[in-house]
Amino acid sequence: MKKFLFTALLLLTALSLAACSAGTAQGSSRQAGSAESAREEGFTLEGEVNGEINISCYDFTYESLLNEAAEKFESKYPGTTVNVNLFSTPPEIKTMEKDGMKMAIITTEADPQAESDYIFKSGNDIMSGQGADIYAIDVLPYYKYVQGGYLEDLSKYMDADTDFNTSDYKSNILNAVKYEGGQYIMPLSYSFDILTYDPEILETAAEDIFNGKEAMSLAQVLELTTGFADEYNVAREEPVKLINYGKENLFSTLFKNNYKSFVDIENKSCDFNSGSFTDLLNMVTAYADNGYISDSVFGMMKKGGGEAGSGAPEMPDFEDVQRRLSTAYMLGLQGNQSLFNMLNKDAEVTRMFMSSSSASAENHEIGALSANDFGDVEADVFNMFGMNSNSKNKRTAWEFIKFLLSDEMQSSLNIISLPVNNNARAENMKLEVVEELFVPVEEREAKELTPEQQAILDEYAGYIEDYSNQINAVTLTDSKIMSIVTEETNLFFTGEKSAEEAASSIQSKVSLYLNE
Amino acid sequence: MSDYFIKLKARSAGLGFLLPSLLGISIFFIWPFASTIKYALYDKPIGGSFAGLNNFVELMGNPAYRLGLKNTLIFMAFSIPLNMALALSSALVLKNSAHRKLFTLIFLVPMVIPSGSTAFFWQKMFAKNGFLNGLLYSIGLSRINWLDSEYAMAVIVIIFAWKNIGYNMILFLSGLASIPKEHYESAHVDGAGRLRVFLHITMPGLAPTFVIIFIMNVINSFKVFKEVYLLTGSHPNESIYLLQHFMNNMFNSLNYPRLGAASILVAAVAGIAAIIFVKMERQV
Repeated sequence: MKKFLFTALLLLTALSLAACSAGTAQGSSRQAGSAESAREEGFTLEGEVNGEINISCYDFTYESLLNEAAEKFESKYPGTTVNVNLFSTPPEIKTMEKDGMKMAIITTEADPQAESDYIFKSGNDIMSGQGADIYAIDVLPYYKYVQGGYLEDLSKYMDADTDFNTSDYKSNILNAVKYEGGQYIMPLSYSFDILTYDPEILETAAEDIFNGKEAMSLAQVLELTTGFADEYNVAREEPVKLINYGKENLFSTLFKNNYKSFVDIENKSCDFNSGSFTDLLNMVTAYADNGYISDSVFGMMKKGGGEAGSGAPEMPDFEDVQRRLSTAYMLGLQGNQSLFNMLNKDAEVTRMFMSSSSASAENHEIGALSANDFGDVEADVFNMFGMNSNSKNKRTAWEFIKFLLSDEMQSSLNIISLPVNNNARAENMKLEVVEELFVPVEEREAKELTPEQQAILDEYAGYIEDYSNQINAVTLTDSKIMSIVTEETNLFFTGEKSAEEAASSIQSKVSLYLNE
Repeated sequence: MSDYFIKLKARSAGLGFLLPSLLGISIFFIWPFASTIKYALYDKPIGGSFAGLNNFVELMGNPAYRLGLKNTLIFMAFSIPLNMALALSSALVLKNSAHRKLFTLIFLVPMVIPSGSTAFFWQKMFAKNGFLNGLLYSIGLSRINWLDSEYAMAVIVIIFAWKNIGYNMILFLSGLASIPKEHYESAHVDGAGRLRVFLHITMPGLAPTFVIIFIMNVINSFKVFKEVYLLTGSHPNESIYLLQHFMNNMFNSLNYPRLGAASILVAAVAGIAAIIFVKMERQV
């Protein structure tokens, strides 16, 4: 009896240790069967669009879109209820005014703890069977969820749904976000970047730099322009900078362009120690030290909270912002929205929505489509969604995702940049030309296009579609990896670590993360 | 016949008293552990197929797990003996002290302070611009990134000792009190010196206490993760990446099969270690 008690006590000691770490690991294995059967061939859509679905998102930019979609969806399908749960704090908006000019500064503070808490909560909810039906793929480690079988492959819903026609959407964008051959993520919109230049500064040098190439990387263009910049600025008191980027922003952009060479998610490997990462850090520092780049407008935000500088950002000086906005830069890296402004410089919206990367952008001309360092034309994708494999109302969840892709929702003002829906994208471009894109739907007039507007639309749509068709990659960066890289490189930029120390630290942390 | 009923009644009463704890243990420990075993034997928690011992094999080859295991063992190897030695020394000093109660209270304070508050204190102490670096700077030395350097392990050993010495000291004081005074008196009569008394009376008399404290320290050494996590996040400097980091991150990425396998191995190792120590204690 004593022996039995002793053994039982030892077992309990061991169990208490293991239960500390795995006590919450009680999942809903009862759902396993349903997920298994769903993978079988001959999948059909079953059930009715009815009942309640929950959508969970962390990023505040999803909220207004989802609220609008939920309201419209519930009207379209009586008997359904869509609950939208947002977990991050909306940004702080500060405005300032001087001489009739208004400026709004929207600040979002990254909150790694809140982000980590959200990921923890989402995982816990999914495993306990209490998870949302649809998750916004904003900060969640989507590939880890796919590997664990927690996200539905939406391809089978797309195939099985006779109302869903893949050709209605920008298929290269949908294909670019596929993971291990499955459509686990559904993006609603996308954007691409273009490299621009100031023709008054570069003049004929632009031809040598861009040399008729349709797509180039920012690193290439910067390298080719430095020689010209040296000559151009030789006798100038105030040298013209290459681009309106601070070193942190420039590093971030160049790093993303080269992300694949540093991080290989599928093979769980990373390469920050080979020298190319330190070369990148040193190159950005050299650009900054030699005065080729400047602080961005956002870099002017001062940190409050006394000497420690840990408080909320303070408003920048108005004159300083104005001065920087009127500064000319040789080059620009601008989103596709700037294309319309460059093609239609007289439009009122041109002045309203100029890219913040360079205020002189309205004088810029298109140089080339921006590509990554491997020559791939990459898109940024927005508002991505995935369906929980454990969802108890998959039929309604799919219908909601499909609704988000419909002409009606894709034309929403809450859609960021270019809709993946072809009809909505064409309609949006037309509305942009007649300057009604940002007018509420009920106030829009059915304007006929003038011949001039039609010409602008043809040119604009031609560029958008041509460039969109060249997109062949989407790099979905991992938020954890990006946070490690940002944290360590900031230590490098503030002089607290050498490039080698930062690279080595990133290598060990990212390697650990990928191999867990 | 009446004896039989008396015994049966006594046994029933005993079982009745045991039942609530048995129920609690079954719900909160045995059932989750059984689920953990199930997860460990499947390749995926949802829609997975039986994988036998594959998760265990993969786990042993996993560099992150091996690093976590290595660091945890290094941490235990340093922190547990250090903690026990300091606690025993404190107990011996306080054993006959007039201020025993006051110091016991002071030593227990770290145990009642929430980890969140202590993490804030340690952050201020060991931050790059923290108190300790301020001291170094004031005497002309360069600052050290305590939590992201080779010193990080030493920092968590200090944190562990700060938090646990008081508790261990009380257990040692209780163990010391249980050693019969006659043993010391006989030794004194026989002319034994302090060292000889310590080695031949105090130490053997404390053997059962040593085993309990060791087991408690092993358990508590896993709990230091809270402070480490609050100070350095989910992916700290390589030298302080502990097994609990691995398990916590497995949970966050919903890799339950691997988490289950890791938990079972930890339970097995801890169980074996406990058996060995109890057997050693009996031989003393």
